[in-house]
Parts: sequence; C-alpha cells; structure tokens
Amino acid sequence: MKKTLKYSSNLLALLAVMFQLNAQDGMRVRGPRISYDLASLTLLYFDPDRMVYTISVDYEMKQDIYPVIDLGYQHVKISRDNYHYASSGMFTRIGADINMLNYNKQVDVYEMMYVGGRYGLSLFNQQADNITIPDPYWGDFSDGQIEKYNLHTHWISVVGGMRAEVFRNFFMGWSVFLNIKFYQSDTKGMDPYNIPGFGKGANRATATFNYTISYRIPMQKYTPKIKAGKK
Amino acid sequence: MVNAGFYGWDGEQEVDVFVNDFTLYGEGRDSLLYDSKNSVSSFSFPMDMNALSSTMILRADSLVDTLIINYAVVPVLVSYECGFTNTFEVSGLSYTRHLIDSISMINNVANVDNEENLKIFL
Repeated sequence: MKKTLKYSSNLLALLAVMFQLNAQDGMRVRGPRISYDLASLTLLYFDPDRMVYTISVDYEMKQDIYPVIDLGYQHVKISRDNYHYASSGMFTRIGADINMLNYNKQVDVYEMMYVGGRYGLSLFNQQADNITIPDPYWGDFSDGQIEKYNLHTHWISVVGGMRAEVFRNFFMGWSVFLNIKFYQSDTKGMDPYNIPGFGKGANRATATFNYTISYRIPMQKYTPKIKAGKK
Repeated sequence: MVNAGFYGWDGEQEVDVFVNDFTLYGEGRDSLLYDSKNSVSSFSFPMDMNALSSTMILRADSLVDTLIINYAVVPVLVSYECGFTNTFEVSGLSYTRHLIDSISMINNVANVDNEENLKIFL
C-alpha cells in the first residue's frame, strides 16, 4: 500500500512538472509523440483472422509541420476446410503531416486538422498448406502446399485527419489513409490476403482508417515563429 | 485441364479436322470422358493432380492412341472465399502414332481457362 502511494505521488509530481512546463505563456512544448492505433481492435469483430499492431512517432519540427514514422506488425491465420493460410510481416510509413488549423493568436494550442503524405514499405511472408481440391475423376487432391516465401510492397499514401489534446500531452484522433501501390514483388499465384499497412492484397488502391491515442513526451519548449495570418 | 484440338494440313495451311466415334478416358479409370458419335474437333482432358504424369487413351475412326503428359502441379489461389485450384506446367509428351501424326505444344501451362494447349495433327 505504501509503495502504491509512493509511486502515485511520484507520478503526480511528474505530471505537475510537465503541466508547469506546458503552461508557460508564449512557449510551445514539443517532444516525440507516440501513438497507438486502436482501430485494429475492430478487427476482432470484423476480421478475426487478422491482427495488426501499429505505433507512430511524430515530432513538431516547427509549428504545423510534423515528420512522422509509423511502424506496424500484422499476422494473418486463416483455417478453412479446403486450405490453411498464414502470413506475417511488418510495415513502415515515413512522411510528414501539416496542420491546417488557424491558431488565432494562441501559441499553446495543439489541436490539429492535418493533411500529409507517406511512403509505405511492407516486408512480409505467406504460405498455404492442407490445400484440398475436389476431383471426381482421378480422386481428390489433398495436402497441397505453397511453401513460405517473402514478398515486399511499396506504396504512397495521402493522409487526412484530426487530433485533439484531451489532457495535457494526451491526444486522441483519427485519420484516413488513401494508399496507391506502385510496386509489388511476385505473388507467385497467391495474392496476399492483406498487405501489412496497405490493405487488401489484390487491390491497387486502398483506404484505411486509424483511430489513435497518443502521448507527447514534453522534452523541450520553444518560441515559435508565428506565421502571417496565424497571429 | 489440358485443352487440345485436332488439325490437318491442306498443303498450304493447317485446318481444323473433325473425327467421328470419339472416345477418351484416363488410363486406369473406368468412366469415359468422351463417348461421342458426333464429329469432334477439340477436347479437354483433366489431369491427375496427385501424379506427375497422366495417360489418356483416345480412340477415333477405329484407331486408338495413347498420349502421356508429364507435368508439375502448381497450386494457384482462386480466391480466399473459394480456395485453390491447380495449374499444370507441362514438361513433356509422348504418344503412339496410329491416329496421331504429330503434336505441337503451343502453351505449356494448363489451367482453368479454355486456352488451347496442344495441337494434335492427324
């Protein structure tokens, strides 16, 4: 109990310091903001054969411009009567977001309505086994397999979204990615069920949705150069 | 499924040829795939997916030939809803020459489409 109280009081003290760091007039706080995508939890209902884990890190390089990197991992396991399929792999998206909101003379505001762009890369593998094909003449084909092999996919994304600071340094937001594939390695007759970070494997273009919670580590404060029209 | 057509030569170009009383079956199978009293100019033959070669026995105009096809079986996804099918990459042919004069392989990948794989010259 004492330990719990001690940790709680330390945590409160840390939060108080961070709040003070944020509250200084005329200054903006910046630091790496780490986000986790909660939208993948909907897969438990809509697509239980698949699970995705995605984190993102962005950083306010200067007011309104946020370089960002997304990292994710996906695995797929499908078991049907006539085949088993498995795929796993990672993806990364690198790019930047630009905040389109007018701050209206408020420096210490971090809400965002943004657009951005990404380059996406996915490295993954897939395999199938227990392939069964009915054949009334010669007899059914069974135990067919496609051995595990590696693939890679490259694409670009246009991003749009919103993000709000719900508590100091804690954010929630959503974003929509419109993805266009420009390179796909040889699929060897088996279009991927789902390309990590991109979406349905047979499609040239996809749309994906993210709903994120974020925490910004308040590491630095700075005085932004206010752009014309923003103050 | 390998698709084949019967052809002849009229001195200048190849022409379609029709055969009569055509029967076709796979070696070791009881049932006939074709048993036609009508004229036939092409046929499809399902290959054994559990083997690396299939032998067909074809008879037409009272002549019988045996055709052996060697191949590799390659599973291909149809869709994640339907599952897989197999394609066959044909690597070689051997045949007797009672009815058949020669065979030209024009497409060595046999799959579910209707594209012709073999031209059988009579």
